[in-house]
Amino acid sequence: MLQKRSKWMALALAAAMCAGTLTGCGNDDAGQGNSSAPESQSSENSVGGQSSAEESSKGGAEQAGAETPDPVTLKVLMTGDKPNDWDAVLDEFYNRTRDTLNITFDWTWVPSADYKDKLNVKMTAGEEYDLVFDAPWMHLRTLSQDGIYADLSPYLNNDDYPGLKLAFPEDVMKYNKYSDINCALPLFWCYGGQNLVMYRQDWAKEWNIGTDGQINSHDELKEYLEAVLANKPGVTPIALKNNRGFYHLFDAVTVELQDDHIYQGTLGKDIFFAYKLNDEETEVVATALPGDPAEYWEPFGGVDFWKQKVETSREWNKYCETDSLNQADPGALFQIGKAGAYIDTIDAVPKYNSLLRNNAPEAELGVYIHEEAARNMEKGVYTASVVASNCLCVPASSDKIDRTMAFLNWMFESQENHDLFEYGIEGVHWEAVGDSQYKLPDGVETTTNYNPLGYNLSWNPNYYRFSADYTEYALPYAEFSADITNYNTDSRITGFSFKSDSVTTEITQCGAILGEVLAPLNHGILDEPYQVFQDTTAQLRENDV
Amino acid sequence: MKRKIYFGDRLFTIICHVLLALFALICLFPFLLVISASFTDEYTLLWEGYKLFPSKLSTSAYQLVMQTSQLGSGYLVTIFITVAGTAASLLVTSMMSYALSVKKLKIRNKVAFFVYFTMLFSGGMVANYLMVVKYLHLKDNLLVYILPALVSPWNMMLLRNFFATIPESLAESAKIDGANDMTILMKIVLPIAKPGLVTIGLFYALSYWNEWFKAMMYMDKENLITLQYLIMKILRNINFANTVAGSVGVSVNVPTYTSRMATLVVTIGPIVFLYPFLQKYFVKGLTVGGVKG
Repeated sequence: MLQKRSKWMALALAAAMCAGTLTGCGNDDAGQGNSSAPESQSSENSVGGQSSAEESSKGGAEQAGAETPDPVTLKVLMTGDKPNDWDAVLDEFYNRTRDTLNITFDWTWVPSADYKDKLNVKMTAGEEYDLVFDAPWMHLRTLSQDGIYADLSPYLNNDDYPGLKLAFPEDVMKYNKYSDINCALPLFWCYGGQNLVMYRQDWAKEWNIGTDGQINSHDELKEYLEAVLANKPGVTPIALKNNRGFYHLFDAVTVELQDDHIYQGTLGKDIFFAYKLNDEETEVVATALPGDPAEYWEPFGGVDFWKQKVETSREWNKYCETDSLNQADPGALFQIGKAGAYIDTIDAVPKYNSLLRNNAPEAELGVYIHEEAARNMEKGVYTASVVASNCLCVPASSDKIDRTMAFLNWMFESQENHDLFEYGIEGVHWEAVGDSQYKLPDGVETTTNYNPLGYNLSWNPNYYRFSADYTEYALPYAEFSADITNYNTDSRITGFSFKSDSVTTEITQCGAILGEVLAPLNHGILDEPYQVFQDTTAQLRENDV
Repeated sequence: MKRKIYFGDRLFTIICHVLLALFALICLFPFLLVISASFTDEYTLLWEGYKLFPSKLSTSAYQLVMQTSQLGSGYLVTIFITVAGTAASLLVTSMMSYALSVKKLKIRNKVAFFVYFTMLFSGGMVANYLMVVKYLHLKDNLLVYILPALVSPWNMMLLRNFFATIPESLAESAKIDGANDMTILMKIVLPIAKPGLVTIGLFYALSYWNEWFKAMMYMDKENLITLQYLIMKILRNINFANTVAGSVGVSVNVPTYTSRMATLVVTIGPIVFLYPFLQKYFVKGLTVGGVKG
């Protein structure tokens, strides 16, 4: 009897569980029904994205011009941490635009380390956003291929959107197409990073090195490093970063070779190679890898660009830390005076200038731009890289594209509007210095102040302000790199980016083998460095990798 | 002679104790370094390296960490999901384990395989995301921490094996006395299986306490993220801010290293005091389901 009862109980329990599951299924179905709507809408939009954008672009422009449009909330997915005082900046934006744009934001910030994964699942799952950050090194290529992003060309070069027309001219946009459409708004402020060595100019002055402590050649730099070794016990002459080593310090001067149509390229992060184009620059006529036999290098003047580089690195290794391969933060050594020099790019100058002065008031930051043509600011020598590393995209599934573009138009319409998002509220978070610089107001702590945005939302060469912490010597170089007229944009390789999808396996195999020797070679740790390169490349060629 | 052996034994015990104490100190030393490093300023830490007694004391790292307003909500969320999640998981897991350990249930092997299958194969990140967000509508919902993790197949198998070691005669005699399966489970099996439950409970509690992935994937609202994800977020953002500052022409002085240490000290709190009291169950946990009787 009892057994029977327990059987019935078990049956009832099982039925209840089934019912629960089925109820769950029912809800799932309902959910599916609901959620499939935007999905199908999204695919419709992505196919007919352009026409809908064209129609809406008109509407957007009209709205931007005349009466106050209906209130709308834009959903934004953005990489990075929510800046301090972000809400105050948004309030200021609302105050300024309530009568014109009437837009509010639902802004989601995702830490940069998680952003790539999160963007992928959110876009693939068809979640609705009106503006997202994406990049060619993230999912921009694949998502644009899948039609996830809307074609924004109707809004560009359009007089109804003067801000966008000014910030994203055709000359720039033609190099930033993905899947043959302009679905990504490029964010950048300069056209080529200046590589440089930072050093203690006060020490160089003390030891009478260079012109009043200004180093202008590799020989003077070497003299300085020798002097650090001799006069500053316990101080590393030059601090190297684990994955960079001497970086571009001993690179061959390929600028002079460009007239012969010779260039250097990179595949993945570890495969470097030289290539030569024909006179019309329409096809590649020769390629060579570092360490290749002499016959490969004949079209390049018979000299392997990397021979001198790795041999000089070996020679200069005595100026580095013994375990420089493990040094993840060489800048920290330099900023506290435990290293005499540090290799970086021009963007890092304000940071180290201010840190050095904080830590040692007598310190004076020296900057040595080691590429001669760059140091002499020769116009048109360097080929501009107009392909942006960071972009803004508008998902095609958004039904508020016109309003999103109206917002972007507003942000890029004037220096004042742009500054609000990039630097915060003027007078509270920053103060203008001249026309093109900014500084923090006195007494403001950098850790609690608004964190300047830019790479993820608002960078643009037209509106970029340089930090007042640039040294007098370095500022003109930074300004030089933000002006496209200083660069060569006629080259065939301008805007070229290699689609590596079909050779991903080969790049991975090759990169794995080269990656093992590249870091020790860049740090100058291995004896007979060029022999190592030759052996590795021979091994790759033998195995047809 | 006897005295000599006694002395030798004592000496051996003393040596063992000294060695173990030394080992404990060695284990404790890095933690002490972390605490001391968290109470100095960035410049002193970089200049002097890690020292037990830094020459300059500073609480700037703690000020930076404490300015994160979500620290309180992070603790609350984590404590809530640890307590509620562990209780719910234990209840459901033990019910399922019991059902699968009762030989009378004919489909038990099929159900067991169904559970086992999920240990081998998973739908992948996008499928999971779709399931949770699109169909279960659990985005920005605290239940997302608990529901998908309600039954861990591994823990369920462990507990089932533990239940299988309980003599069947106990259940049979209870049935003769009129008890149904629910009564047998609650009144007889669970009290006997306490060591197993505590162990499984500890596993569950730890996995809930350490939860960060679901916070990353499914939470857009900052006040719903767990403590562990908050730590990751703070550290990642400090590192990133530092990197970005160096590459965007901005001078920002973020105490990267000391704030890492301060974050560790602030968040390690309760669980570090809990460990010494619970560690014996870890040892027991290793043998759960593995020893008969």
